[in-house]
Amino acid sequence: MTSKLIILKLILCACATIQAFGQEMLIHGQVSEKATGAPIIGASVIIWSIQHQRILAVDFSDEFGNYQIALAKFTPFELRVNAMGYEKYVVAMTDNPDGKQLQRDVLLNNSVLRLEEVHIHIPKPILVQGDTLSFSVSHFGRGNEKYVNELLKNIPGVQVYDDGTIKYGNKEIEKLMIDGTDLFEKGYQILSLNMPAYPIETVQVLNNFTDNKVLRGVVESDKVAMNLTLKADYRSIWFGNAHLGYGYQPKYWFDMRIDLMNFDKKNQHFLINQYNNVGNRSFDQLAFYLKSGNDEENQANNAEIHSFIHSEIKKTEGIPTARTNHNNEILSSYNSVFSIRDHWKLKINSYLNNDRQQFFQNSTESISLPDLNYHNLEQLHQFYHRSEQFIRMEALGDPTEHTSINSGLDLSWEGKNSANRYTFNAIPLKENIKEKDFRIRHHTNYAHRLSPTIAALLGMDLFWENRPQYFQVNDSLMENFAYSLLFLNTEARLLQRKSHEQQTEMTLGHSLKIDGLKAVQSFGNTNSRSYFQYKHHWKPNENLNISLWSKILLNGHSKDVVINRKEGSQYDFIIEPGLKLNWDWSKKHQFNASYSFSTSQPELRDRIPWYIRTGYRSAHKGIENYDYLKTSSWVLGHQYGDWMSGITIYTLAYFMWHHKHISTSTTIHPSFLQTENIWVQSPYQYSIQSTMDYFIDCLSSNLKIALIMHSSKLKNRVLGFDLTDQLFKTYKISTALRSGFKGNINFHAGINASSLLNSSSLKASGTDHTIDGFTDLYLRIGEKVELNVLYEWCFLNQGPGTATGFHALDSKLKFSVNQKRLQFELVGENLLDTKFYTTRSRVEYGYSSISYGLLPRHILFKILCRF
Amino acid sequence: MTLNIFYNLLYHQVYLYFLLGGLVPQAHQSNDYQLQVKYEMQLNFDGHKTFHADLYQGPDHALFLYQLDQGAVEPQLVANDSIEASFHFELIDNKQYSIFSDRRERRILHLEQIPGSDQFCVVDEPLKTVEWHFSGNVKDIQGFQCLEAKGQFAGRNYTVWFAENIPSFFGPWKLHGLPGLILEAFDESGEVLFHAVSVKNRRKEDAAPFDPMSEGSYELINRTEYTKRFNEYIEKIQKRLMTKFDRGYQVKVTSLPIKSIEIYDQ
Repeated sequence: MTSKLIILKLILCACATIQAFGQEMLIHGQVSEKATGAPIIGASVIIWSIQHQRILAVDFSDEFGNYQIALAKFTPFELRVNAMGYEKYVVAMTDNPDGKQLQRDVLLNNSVLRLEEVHIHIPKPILVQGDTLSFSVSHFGRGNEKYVNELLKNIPGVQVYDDGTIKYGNKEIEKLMIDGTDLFEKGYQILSLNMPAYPIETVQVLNNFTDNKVLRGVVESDKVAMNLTLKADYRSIWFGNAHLGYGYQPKYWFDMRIDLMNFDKKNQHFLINQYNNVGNRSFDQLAFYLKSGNDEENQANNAEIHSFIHSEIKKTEGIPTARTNHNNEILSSYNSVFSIRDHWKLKINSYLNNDRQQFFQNSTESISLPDLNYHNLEQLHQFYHRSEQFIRMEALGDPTEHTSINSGLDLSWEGKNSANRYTFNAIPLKENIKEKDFRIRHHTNYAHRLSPTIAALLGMDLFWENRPQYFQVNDSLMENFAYSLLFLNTEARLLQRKSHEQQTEMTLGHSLKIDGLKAVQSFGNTNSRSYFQYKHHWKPNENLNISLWSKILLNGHSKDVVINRKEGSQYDFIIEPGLKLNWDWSKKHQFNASYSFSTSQPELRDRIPWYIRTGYRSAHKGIENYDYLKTSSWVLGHQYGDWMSGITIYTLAYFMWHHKHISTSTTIHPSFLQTENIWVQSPYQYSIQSTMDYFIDCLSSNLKIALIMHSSKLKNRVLGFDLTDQLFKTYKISTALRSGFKGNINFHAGINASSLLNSSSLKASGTDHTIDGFTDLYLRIGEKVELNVLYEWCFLNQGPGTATGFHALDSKLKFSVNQKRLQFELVGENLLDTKFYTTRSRVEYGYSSISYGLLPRHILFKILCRF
Repeated sequence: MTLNIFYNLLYHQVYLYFLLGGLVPQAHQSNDYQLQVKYEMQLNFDGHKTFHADLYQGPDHALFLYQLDQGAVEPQLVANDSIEASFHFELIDNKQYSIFSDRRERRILHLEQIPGSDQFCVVDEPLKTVEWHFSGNVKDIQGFQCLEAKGQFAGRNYTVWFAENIPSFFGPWKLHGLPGLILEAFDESGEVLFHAVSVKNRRKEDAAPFDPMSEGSYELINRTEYTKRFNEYIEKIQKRLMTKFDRGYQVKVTSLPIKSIEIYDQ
């Protein structure tokens, strides 16, 4: 065996030698120092082709100074030898007398030249200018990208997801702008998925982005935005996407949407059109984005009329709204930005909406008080029609480098009509609510940067709303309301960054709110509020973050009961302090704590001094004496571990003490309910909740356990008894197991159990129990097919004979023909055709049970495409 | 809702102050470096990160030191409310690290964090000369005539420009084996870029560069073992993450890109 191996090796060596000497040319030699003859280690030896002007081969001298280079065939070359501290050696070799081997020993002279520090500037494809990174599309693009999302995938560090969401680093971008113009704000995904790539010249990532450029460097921001600059010869085109869904059992089902858009360097346009009757309430989301704007702290966002009667579709609890939303919705939205000169833009956002909805609800009410016992049964079939028109026109400008201004006008018109058909204890009733609403809002904001670390902001908001409301029961007019609201707020803010660790913020403002109600009588209320707030942010080290603030308010109010009968004015001086801190004690333990004291004025709705009809069998009256709602809140949180840990525990505790609060005094009749607001002191609520995630390695699954304890103590009065304490305690435990298998199938199953304990001096204490759960399966078949099956159930038990249940099954089968262009979906909702979802709750003086009518079983075939 | 879990591991190494049993040769603590090259090292895995780097080059060995030029980023997860939410984590710090390359012994010692632990190790790997291909393209960089070469190293295809007149076997990171100093290098995805900022000869009286690896002794493992531990750790993290979400989030792991300068089979 051994001799065979030796023979084989000899044959292989012989072949290799024949091949080497038959075809290759070997250049070898030694590199030495000329002065001493010592071998030079690590000298580079280059064979440079004279004919092709490029390197043919390279070697480095070894510890003995030897080198050896094999060439496939001889061609005239230069032998270049170079070593650090020596002069470069170059010799041309134009012929090869030996033909096979060439020995060339090289002697290098010591070099006296030193390379003093040489600074090198190389043009880079990524340009860093402060917080802005500019990526040249010509360098990173491949030339065959059709859409912006495909182009962005080539930009290092950018992630683009199937729905068009863009992340840079670990942050989702705030907005995607075109040449500095922001048309979509949070809805930029439509742009990233549909805008063609070829007009893009550079992709700019704006780190530490703040909406207002004047505040950059003054306010600390960790947000990221993206800007696409266009090529000069960009031509506008129309493009878009669509999805069409259709089903026909037990009625015709539609879910359709078409988006169209057009951009050029100066003007941009974006249109949305959709129709559905499958329960989607996309209008609410769109309206929310368009109306709310970006300034979350703006007080005008909270100025609104609070009606006594709500015409809107009834709200559901515990299940997704889409299950109970029997709708028929049409929505159309038009959005444009026009550039006017270099520094001004006009932005228009608008929508039209028309929606017809139906809602089904059965409810029972069981009252058990010492002198009163009865049961009410109520069935409701609600027909609701809503139409809304909205337009916002906004001028945005940055007239100088240190200033910015934006000024806008919002107009909206709403019409609502709710026809409610009740059966109350077998008695049929009709309730009609008609409502019209007109709103106008103007805002102007001005920002001026006074120095690199100081900026001043001035803002003004004016808001006016008018809402007539008619309420009829069985064709008899019950109430004829005319609400009105005027709100004016002016504010000045001074922001200063004192150092990297400290930032201060001073705010001085005044707001005026005049609201009124004309019904049988008239009631007017005027509130003025002057305030000064000082906020200090302090970061003493990387692990501790402290914010302290104090707000000083001078509140004034006056009211008119019946027009022109003034009832005097009252002025109050209030201080609202607050404290918040975040402390990373260690990598695994993080704490946060906060305290705040807040006051608020009662809404007009809570102050009307006579009984107002709020339903076909209810009436309400406001408080007699004016005062403020005062609340102190304490929050304490702890986190153990993080997302990557095998075990993570989040614990949160809060306590709210209402120094002064509004409660009710209720008079109950079997067919009528009268409530009157009263002031109470010291109700409170607290909650402790803890969630644990534990990853079970052997099962490749995560076990989640949540424990919640909530307690609230209310004070109210029922049937003329003394003020009564109502104590509610809720205990809840939830467990869920979710698999993380690498294969194509995964599951998620969970179960929740809760108990509600209610005790009061008026009635015996009792406990309700609820158990619900779910089981979901996710299956992938190859890269193109996905199947999801979702099953959920619920079981309620509140004593003998009151048990109810609910279960529902949904599924979705998705087939991607082309991930980017075409997809098909088969969606099945409520496949078990469950009719109702029931909730039951223990209220202060009895039980309440509500059953919601669900959308029937339906199957939809959907096509999603882009064009 | 569908959730894509998307992990990105930026360059993640932490300097070790505590000792761990093991043996790492201390022979590389020399000061016979003749050339010092400052580089700007840019990583664009998920977010732009710039490192300051120094290459100290001796006759048969080189020391490459690099340090992030900004504050450390804590490991974090961020969610958004889009239909396909995505989550991401990154580990990175701003300590100084080193790669010691020894041509005579044909080995590289590289300080790495042991995946999933606070402890550290030195990865011992063979010094492999990159198989460079010379295109013949020439360009001038700040007066230095530079030649273009292309080669593949650790899963990335690099294009480099080197100055033949500055003899150097060693390049930035582990891009060794060219007959001249690399002044510019980038991989084809644009995720890794090296740009020389300055070049100078060192004097004998210059202080020796500080090599954090010389501060202690660490567990010594080879690259295969390190990659194995790394992949096990990432798989564990992946499973932990994808199982933590509440109902309503459908978790779909569409890809598992682990991004670092060196890419090995996962």
